[in-house]
Amino acid sequence: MPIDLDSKINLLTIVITNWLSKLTHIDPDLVLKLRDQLGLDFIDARIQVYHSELVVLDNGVVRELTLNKHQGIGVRVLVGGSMGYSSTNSLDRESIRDATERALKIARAISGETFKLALYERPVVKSRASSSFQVDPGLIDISEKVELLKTMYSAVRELQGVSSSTIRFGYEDDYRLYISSRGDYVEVSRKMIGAGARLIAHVEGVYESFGDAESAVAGWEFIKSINWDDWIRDRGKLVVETARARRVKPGRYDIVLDNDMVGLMLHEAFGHASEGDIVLAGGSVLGGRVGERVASEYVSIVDDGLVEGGAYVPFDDEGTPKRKVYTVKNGVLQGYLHSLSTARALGQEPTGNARVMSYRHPILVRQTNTYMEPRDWSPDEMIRDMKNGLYIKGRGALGGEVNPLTGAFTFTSGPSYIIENGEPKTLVKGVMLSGLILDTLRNVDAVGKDLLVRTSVFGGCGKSNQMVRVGDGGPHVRVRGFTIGGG
Amino acid sequence: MEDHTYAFEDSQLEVVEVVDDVIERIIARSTERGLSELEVYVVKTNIRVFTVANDKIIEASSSVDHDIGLRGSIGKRVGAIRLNNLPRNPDEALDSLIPVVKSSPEDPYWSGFASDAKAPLKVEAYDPRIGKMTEEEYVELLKATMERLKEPGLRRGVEKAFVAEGLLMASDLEVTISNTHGVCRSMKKSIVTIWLTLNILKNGSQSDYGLVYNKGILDQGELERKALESGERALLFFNSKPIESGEYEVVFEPTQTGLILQFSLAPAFSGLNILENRSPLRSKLGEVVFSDKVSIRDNPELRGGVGTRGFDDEGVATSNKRVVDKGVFKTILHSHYTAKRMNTDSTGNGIRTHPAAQPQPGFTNLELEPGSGNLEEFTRDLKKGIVVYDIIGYWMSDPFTGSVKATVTHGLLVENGVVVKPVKGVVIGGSIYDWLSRNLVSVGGDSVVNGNASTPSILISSVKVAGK
Repeated sequence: MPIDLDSKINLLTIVITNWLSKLTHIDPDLVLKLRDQLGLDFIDARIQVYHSELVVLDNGVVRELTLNKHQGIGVRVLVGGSMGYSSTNSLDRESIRDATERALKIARAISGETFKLALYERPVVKSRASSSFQVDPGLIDISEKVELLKTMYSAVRELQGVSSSTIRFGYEDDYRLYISSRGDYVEVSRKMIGAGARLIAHVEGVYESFGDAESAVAGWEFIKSINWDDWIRDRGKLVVETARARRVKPGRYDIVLDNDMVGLMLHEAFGHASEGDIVLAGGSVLGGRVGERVASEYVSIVDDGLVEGGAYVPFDDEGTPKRKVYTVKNGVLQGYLHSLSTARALGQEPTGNARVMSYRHPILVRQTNTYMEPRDWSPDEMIRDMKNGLYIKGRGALGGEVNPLTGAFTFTSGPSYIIENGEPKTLVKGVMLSGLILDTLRNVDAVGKDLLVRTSVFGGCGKSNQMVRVGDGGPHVRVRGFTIGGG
Repeated sequence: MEDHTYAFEDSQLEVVEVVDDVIERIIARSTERGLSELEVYVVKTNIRVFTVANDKIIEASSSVDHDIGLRGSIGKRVGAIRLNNLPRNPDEALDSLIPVVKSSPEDPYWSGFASDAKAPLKVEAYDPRIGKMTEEEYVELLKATMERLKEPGLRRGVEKAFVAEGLLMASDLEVTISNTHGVCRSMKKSIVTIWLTLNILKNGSQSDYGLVYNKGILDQGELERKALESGERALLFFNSKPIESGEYEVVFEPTQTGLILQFSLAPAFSGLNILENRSPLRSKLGEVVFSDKVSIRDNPELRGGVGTRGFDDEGVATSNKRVVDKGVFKTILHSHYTAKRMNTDSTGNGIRTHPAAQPQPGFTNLELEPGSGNLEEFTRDLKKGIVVYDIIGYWMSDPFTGSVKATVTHGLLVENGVVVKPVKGVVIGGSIYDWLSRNLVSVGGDSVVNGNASTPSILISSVKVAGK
């Protein structure tokens, strides 16, 4: 279902008449009046209209068929260097005013305990951006989406050994408007879509599970571009085969990571520790290391909001344009990811990484799309050259986690292969990988030329109870001496 | 400012009344519009969050939100919408819901929404202070907790002790469930979550440990004790490193036991996973599945448990029961839907992931019943083992296979009962079914409530560890 134009116009009319006209540069006299009355240094608001659809088919039966419609306003005030937030899902003038007052009240409650916060003074931004699509998924009848999943179920149910399948379709339409007393007015609209499955095999008394999905910032045409019958059959065969596969003996291995795994590793092993709020808090092993070598010379790491295949982040949730940022270039730490407040506090430029999960949430510094820049190896050449080790595959991986203070990070893989005499030979069950931020990337000795970045409508990155859509990827990469265990 | 505060409280009372009125009208109107059944689930949350960085409270938020699920059926077709604003005109909501229901294929097993007549269990699930405390009182609580956390380090002469990151989140919730079968229940819930990471520096080395307090009540004495305990623990992990790969005995600190059980085991008791052939416990009801040292309870009465409740997310009365009795699998957890499919009654375990989701069987609070001994005693018992104080990645364990995976961020290598060195960056793995049967050495008596789990320390033998 699309965000219907009427509700959008209604919302914006309410917002614009009852909120914008009172608080932004559009009526400077009122802004001054509000500042005088309430003593505000700065005020901004994030308005969100979010529609999503989720269909889940559980062994052929609809387990969930839900349309989600959320909208609301989050208000942030900066008063005497104290920052307070509030939000409301009621869009009438009184509720908005109440939210503003709650934000102000709580900002004042912490005023004696906080740093004097300030925001980086960047130029005013007035812009709008929308992700591209050909066919609006909201206009496709829900029954067609159910039919897609039923077809997938028919394709996998006959496979011997597959004991359970949970198949899902997801779509979201996320409209965000950012306004501030600086005079910013930034609209971003993004559509994401995808389908996937979790399959369980039960073979000779052994259970095995495997989950995978395909997503894109796109419209219904993305769904039509994939042969889902083949897609799910391939995964069904893999999970049955994996049930019979053996486990890797725990220990240290030389490994080649595929595109999906590299993205996950960078996101965990490096991305979080480069987030400005963690650095500023004294919570990152990368703090104070700008200009130092933190990875091998082959490693360059990018955070980019508009890379092909990734999440779509043209502006962040403070209205700052998302720049393509190198956090590491040729192994040397270049800088951190920033919001307006962390950029100001650490004396660097904002990078457009201030993000929120929804209008309800406060700003955090988040990654957008994290990837390693390609070099010149072909994946085959890399594997041949390594002779023995493991080829770690990302399909079926569940994600990762990091403790940026100790520097320990971890992530899981999908079914992978033992490399013998330069060839991936034996299938093994998925593993858990673990490393230390300041060690692991120094051990990269080959970087491929096959860049691939992916995102997901079903998941993202979690931090402080907020989940945001991200993308990650890279080329195939070889790392010497990686800790592998689990299961 | 006082005037604004009073004005706010009045307006919120009005909002609750308006929502109740709209629910009644939507339910009344749904039959006229052709729905066979309708269920409305509303959560109103009053939440305050204080964020800590570098020893200061850097920002705070205060919000009231509604989250609403409407599920309807026509015959065996079921669909749902999720909103955060309930339109005053019932037809507006039904106009969105009815096409979704009609588009849904029939669920051959659909047996309707619950119509439980049993009175809810009487439990203490609400601490009214959590909603009533002022912002200023929370600031004082947070400051006092941070001071307690730093105290042990400063007393022992570390160069610097500071809270690097953290937050305090206080939620006051009101949940209402109504359906066309006459279920109409509401409850108040409270949750307070405090998470603070202490960073300490000494002789050029760094160590840290996190205080985690996640409960349905605020017990300030307990919070203070936990802060001091976490401050003491932070002194244990200077210069931690990976150790050699191999098989070790492993002691899990109580909270870590809970995390492992919730992610590698708890879903296996779900009636849905058993019905859909994705639980290793399928066909094992009444059989010995674990050591006789293991008794696991679904305990909706747990004092301080986040899952403490008198009825489940379908309005069905909860009950306190053993799920595993001295190693024997005794009870399958059921929602109304799975119970009907298995010709039995719901166990009051229908739990939702969001207000519009179909409730699925899950624990209210998972309790591993205490045995004897504690973390310190188990540590002294170790010949060559690791004491695990904190882990990451445990949530990637697989309940469909029972495979446990986690990376230790804070551990101690112990030989012959003596701590040899601190450990980080090693992967532990195995099967939860082996760990709780042939590898289980001891279940402690030192239970701790964290979130919706109450678990003690456990000592497991022959755990696979991947390190250097």
